Amino acid sequence: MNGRLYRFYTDTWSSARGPVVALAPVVRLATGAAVFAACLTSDPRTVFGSGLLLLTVGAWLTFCRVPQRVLWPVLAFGVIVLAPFFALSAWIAQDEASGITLHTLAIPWGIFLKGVAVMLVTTSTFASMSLAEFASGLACLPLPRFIVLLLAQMAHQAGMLLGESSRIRAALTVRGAGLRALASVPRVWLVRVMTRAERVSEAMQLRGYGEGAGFSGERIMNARDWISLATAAGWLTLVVLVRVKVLP
Amino acid sequence: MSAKALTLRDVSVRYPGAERPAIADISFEIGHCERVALLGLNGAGKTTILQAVVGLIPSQGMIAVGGVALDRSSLRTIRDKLGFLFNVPEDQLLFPDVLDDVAFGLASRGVPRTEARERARQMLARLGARELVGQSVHKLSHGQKLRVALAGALVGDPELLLLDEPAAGLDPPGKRGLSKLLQDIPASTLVATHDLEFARKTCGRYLLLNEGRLESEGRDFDLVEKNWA
Repeated sequence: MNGRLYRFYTDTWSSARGPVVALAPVVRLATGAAVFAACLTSDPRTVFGSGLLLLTVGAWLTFCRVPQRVLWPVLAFGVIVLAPFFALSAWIAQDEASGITLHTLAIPWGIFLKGVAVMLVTTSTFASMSLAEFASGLACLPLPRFIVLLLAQMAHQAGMLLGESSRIRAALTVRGAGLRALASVPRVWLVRVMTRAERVSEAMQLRGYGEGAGFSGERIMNARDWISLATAAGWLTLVVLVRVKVLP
Repeated sequence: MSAKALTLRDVSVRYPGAERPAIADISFEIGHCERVALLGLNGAGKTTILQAVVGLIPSQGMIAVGGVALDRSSLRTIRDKLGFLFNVPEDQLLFPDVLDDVAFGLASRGVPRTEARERARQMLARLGARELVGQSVHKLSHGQKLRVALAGALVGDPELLLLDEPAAGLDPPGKRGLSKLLQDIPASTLVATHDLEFARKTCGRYLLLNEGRLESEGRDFDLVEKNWA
């Protein structure tokens, strides 16, 4: 499983083939963030809100054109993690005389749809760039420098840690580890991760990571980038206005 | 007379809670463009010495790089003078893109991005790793990661090169290539290794460590071989 997770992680970056890929990395990140915010702002408890949310996600997926080998696992993961929220309906229905109705289903449906939507949008956004472009895009955003360095390193080291996890699992498999040994995996993993974190921290100190001007992005944007940004911002504004109008 | 590339005088390191020091009263010097092997069995203290030289672990005694004594104020100056290769090269790859990682050391010292990337490309080509340009470090083999880490250490033309087990995990042609490359580099080099054959081919002198103490030093690697046998 871990080996597959590692491969999934490394294969996801740069896997998209849609027109979004042609935008500057910082624009891909910013438009992805706007679409993410639009998903969170939508109110899927109404048919119109659900439609708007699905339209937002559908449009972003179309523009990114992420391969199905990436999309399906994310969708399946979202369903597995978020479908249990429908069990809330029974609990909500306890207070309602009419039992489980569309009204009682609306809340878990909203959680489910928003959750799956943001997972798909996040994955598609990351799939539209390489890890290096992600770091370069982050560096161009108006964020505090330490946040940029931290996020870039987290994304990079996540891949390294998944690789480490896959090696631990391979070792356990080869050594014929049974269920009892599986219980020790978190402990083994934690120790390895701590040791590794220490070594990486030493390398950062030594190479002067975050001290000089060695980490920067190039903010070269053309008309297409500006149009994309304006469209994403406009769409987010529209969703916010709809939400404000719908809410009492 | 100009200062030595590296000087250690009575250097000791004791890890917290340890019964005995990891290294004790170590003294030696490395001249300019001299290649020295730091030999010793596992746990002899090789990595500890390298880490003490770059100030990653606190030590007692005197350490100087190119005549500059190691202390809190000189740490950055000293680190900028040297190239360091960790024994797990993957740990020092801080960027997902090969070229970005190799160019980082130059860019952080103010070299313009385009020039830094060009020099990084040239260094990778010199290490026979031209094909790695544009690749993600996540998809490299151990040997390839080693070459990228080495390129990152060499690209800034360091005065002193500290290499921790550089030949570990390399196939015989890889070891031969690395050995030849190190002989061609105009930098003082301290190679921590227990690979005697690699040390013999690469270095002109050895320092032999045993349980944290400098047991002997010299140029006749056969003596070490007999000792270990």
